[in-house]
Amino acid sequence: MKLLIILLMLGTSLYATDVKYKLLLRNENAIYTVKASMQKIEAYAKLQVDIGFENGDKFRTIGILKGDTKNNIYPDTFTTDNYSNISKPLVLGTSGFSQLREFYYEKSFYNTSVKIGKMQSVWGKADGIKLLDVLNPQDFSEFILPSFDESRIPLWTLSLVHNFQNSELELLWILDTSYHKLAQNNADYAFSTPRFVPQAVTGIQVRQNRATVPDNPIKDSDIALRYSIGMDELEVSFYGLYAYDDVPVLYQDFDRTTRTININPSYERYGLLGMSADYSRGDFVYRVETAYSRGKYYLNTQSKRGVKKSDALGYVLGIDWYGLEQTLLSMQINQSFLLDNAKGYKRPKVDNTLTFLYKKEMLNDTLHAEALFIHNINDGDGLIRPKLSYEWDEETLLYTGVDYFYGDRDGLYGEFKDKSRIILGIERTF
Amino acid sequence: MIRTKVHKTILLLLTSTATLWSMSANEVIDRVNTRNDGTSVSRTLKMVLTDKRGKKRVRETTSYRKYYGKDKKSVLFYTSPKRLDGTAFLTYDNATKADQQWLYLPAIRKVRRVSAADRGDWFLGTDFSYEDIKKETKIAKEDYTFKMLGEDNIDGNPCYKVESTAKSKDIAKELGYSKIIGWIDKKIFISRRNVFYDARGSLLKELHNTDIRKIQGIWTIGHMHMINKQNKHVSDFYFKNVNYKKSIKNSIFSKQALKKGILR
Repeated sequence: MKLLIILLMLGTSLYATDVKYKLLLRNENAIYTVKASMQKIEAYAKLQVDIGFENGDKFRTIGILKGDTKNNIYPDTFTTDNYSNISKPLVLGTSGFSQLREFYYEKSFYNTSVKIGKMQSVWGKADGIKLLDVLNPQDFSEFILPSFDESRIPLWTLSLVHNFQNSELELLWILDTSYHKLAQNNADYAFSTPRFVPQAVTGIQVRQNRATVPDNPIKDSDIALRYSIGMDELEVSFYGLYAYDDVPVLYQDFDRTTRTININPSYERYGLLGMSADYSRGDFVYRVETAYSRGKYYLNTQSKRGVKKSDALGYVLGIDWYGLEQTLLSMQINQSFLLDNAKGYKRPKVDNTLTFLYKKEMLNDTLHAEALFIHNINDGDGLIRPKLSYEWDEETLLYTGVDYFYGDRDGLYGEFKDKSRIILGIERTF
Repeated sequence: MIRTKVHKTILLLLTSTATLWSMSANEVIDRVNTRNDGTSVSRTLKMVLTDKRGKKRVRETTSYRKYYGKDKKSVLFYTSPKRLDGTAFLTYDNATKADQQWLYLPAIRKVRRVSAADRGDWFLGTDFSYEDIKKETKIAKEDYTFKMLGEDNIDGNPCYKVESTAKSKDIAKELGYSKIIGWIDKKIFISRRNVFYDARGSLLKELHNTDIRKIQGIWTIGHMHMINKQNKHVSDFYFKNVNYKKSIKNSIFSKQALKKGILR
């Protein structure tokens, strides 16, 4: 595909009229709240180069370099099993890696825009909850704490967007077979919640085998379609996706002779239909996002292989209020329903999550206060994230914040309550 | 009898005062609001923001505006500093229905619909309000009542001095202004100086428009200097590369364009 992009560039007017680069350097440090020790000392560099051509075409490339001296997030080394061969980051020793994050060419003609290369594709209207924002897999090495922009795993994709009079059609052909990157077993943010992870039984050995990974870029590609209508007061979008689930299905096969449970992860296809809309009235903006998925597997203790397929329906309803000066207050309700009647599922049949977001700009937008609160009603656990950032000058941002986990240790958030942390960071852009 | 005479004298004086000015305040505002500002415009804007300690921050943007009958669409792309590069802001100002606004932040990769109701909020950290930016020195007749205060000279140019008072406390609260006193150039009907009073009636800020030139036949402000009298913050807006004749595609006023950004 890299060759195709180069050919495309050669085939068009190659007269670059503008070249812009942006270099971001960041140092972010985290200290555990439960013990006085450092969780991470991270250095991060991102170089973005944008080239604009005479005819309006655009080429973008983004590369990153990341290193952490504390080895709590990536304990041994940065593993790359989840990445397709053409997307694998370059591992640098035991504490770092570099990665080509984006590399695409964008060409517009008439009312159509074609984008080809490695990119992020983002769907949906929800904040911090991924119901429709599922086109790109995610790096969960640091759970959901980094920005989605940094934790999304960009994919080699062909994107076509056509604008009609009052609507827009998007077609995505994703040729990259990379999947979610989960934290390694001994890492700080390794999942242990019974919702996702089969629990050990006394006297029975558990052996985790390597995942069967679909890796044919054509046969195993994903197809996605979006149609958005209306632009002014109300916009409604409809979505369709046929893809591999980015989480492997954990088939559990019991070997009676060795009294061992073999966990055989395998990636399976699923289908998704969705809808989103947003509407503004007065000081309020209303957002809604729904998704119906078919063919996903969930852990089920009463099923022969420990997993069972179920259709699921989820929605996010969000209300943003801009009534106070320079302030945003936002609330979201998220419900997810398993539609299968069978018993034994490890996740709740109806899963309920609430989120609250507070944002305030002060001192002529040089001081930003923010607080995000995510609470799962079923498990009574959650995450509180207050953050304060100050724009020291045009290039420099200083920030501090807390990532505080609470609640049931079996819950998605409560399992990390010992990994709550204080963040201190400095970011400079050149 | 004496009382009637006094009343008549006052009435005569008032009438004479009114006729002293060749135009009424309402007529002046009408001329301001119907002033030709082109059916479309492209321009770059350099914003120099200075805090009370003298620390400066510079932002540069490229913006496009186009009228569709009485409706107006505007889009603004940040080009500098690099930390904000890619941020874009799209506004639909509708004459008959509620305005709509969208913000694109590269960090979230989503175009987010934001409320357009907070007309009095500060525009992107400057000392201008969203309403100031939207109206581009024009003034909404539905929000204010107008009174002619007299004539004056600003930078050697004869001006009408017009007082605009918010029609209600609610409007004053929404706009952030209870009153604006404007010095409007008698020849070109552009405000050369404005003094703003906050919703409680205290002096809030002062605007001084200079470098006013005719570009492609349209009178255009080159420099806007706004001082916030309460926090001593200053915003200087410098408009460059103003072009009223450049063909602007409708597609630039779309969410797709916000995401794509501009390079040229």
